[in-house]
Amino acid sequence: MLELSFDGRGFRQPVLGAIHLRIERGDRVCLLGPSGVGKTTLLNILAGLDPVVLPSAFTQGSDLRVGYLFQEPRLLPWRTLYQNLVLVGAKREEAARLLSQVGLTGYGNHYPDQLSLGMARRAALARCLAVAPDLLLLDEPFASLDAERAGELQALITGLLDQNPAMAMVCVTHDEADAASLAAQRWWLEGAPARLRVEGGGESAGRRSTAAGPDSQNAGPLWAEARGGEGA
Amino acid sequence: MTAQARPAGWAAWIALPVLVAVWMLLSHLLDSSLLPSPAAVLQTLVEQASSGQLWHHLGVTLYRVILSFVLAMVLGVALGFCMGRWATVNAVLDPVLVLMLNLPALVTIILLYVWMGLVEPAAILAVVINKVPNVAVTVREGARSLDRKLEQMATVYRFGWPQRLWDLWLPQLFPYLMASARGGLALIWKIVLVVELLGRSDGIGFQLHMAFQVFDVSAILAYSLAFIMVVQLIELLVLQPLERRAHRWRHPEVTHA
Repeated sequence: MLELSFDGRGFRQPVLGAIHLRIERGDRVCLLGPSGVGKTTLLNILAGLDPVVLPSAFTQGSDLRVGYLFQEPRLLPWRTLYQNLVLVGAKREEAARLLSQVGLTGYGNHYPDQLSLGMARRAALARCLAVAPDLLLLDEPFASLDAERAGELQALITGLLDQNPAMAMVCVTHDEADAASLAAQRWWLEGAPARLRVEGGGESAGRRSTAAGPDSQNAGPLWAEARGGEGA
Repeated sequence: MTAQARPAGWAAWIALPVLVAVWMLLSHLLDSSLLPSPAAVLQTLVEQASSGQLWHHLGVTLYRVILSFVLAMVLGVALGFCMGRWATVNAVLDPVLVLMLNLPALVTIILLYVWMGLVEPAAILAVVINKVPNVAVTVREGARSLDRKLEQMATVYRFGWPQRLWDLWLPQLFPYLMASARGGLALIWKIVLVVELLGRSDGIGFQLHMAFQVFDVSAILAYSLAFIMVVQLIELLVLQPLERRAHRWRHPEVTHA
């Protein structure tokens, strides 16, 4: 579905080294690594937000529909939740359905500043879903939430992924436990410039064979590799 | 929002009555035609209004103010936005902007009258040229402070140009637009009066000119007061409602949880 490779050249400060990665439909990935290693940078690249990484770096999948849950909710504060969802292309009824799906029934006419962080993040998640994404990008979705709220959000995300087996997810987190609760593969980003290391395909493969179902057209293996950082 | 206490309703009603009282006292003590009493000015105002003179000149000046205000805002916002957003545009145009900011209004007016003749377009253009740089400078600050994170969000979610303009940029630029509209209105009507005084045969500036010839201070004060009231009305009926509407999201009425 998505294949990307770049050699790390062109960055003013080479955060990322040479990286080659491939993501298939239905893949669940947790991107782990220490703070400042470039996890969010890589997520932005996947979202097509990094101007240094040219579209040509995408061998495949540069025009995917992306739902991006930023670390701050980044809802438009001067628009209601309905308006925020309609802005990305949802119909009004669909917006109401998505909001109730993330547990915000009746909050459509609220402004984002009236919500708590956890609620605003769920609203932002509803906006991700409003574009019917091929790829769901989550940047530290559980940060700054208490354990209970974080658990709820984990359950919500897991449920959404199960409902949409074709949707791939890449979740940036610093907590390995998140990977387990999301039943995701672990990709480690480490070093400077950072390289990608893949770990633990077993449980994820098991999840895929059951959740993706027999109609899943591409059950091909997910792989990522890091080559030497010769560009740095 | 700060937790500052709301001032009492009467607070706004102190300064102006005191000013009028001082004026009354002074005019009474001086007893000179050079400082007519408030009552005399009011009488002139009523006379001018009932003869239709006031409405004619008020209307002409108001038309010039609105026309040049709209033109100056449109041009200034476009210029300021482009300069704030693209450093190259800013680098090219900034020297011109500094030059225009420091060009005295009087010089622009005289030059345009000399070059174009004492015609309406010269008058309007002179006002517009005087105001555009101020609007541009204010809006440039606004354009520079646009939130990059929301910009990224708009890119990911493929906002089109109308959406970026209306839903992303306009709400962020709104305080800057209001600031330049307020300052603009105040500045423009003052320049319009000078333009009228120097080269038009109607409008409040022209009437002031006539009154000046015969030292008719009460006419001067009556016409000035009339236009100050018009500007106050614009503030109350247009600018403040617009601001309340745009700030709804800061003070939403729905608070049920």
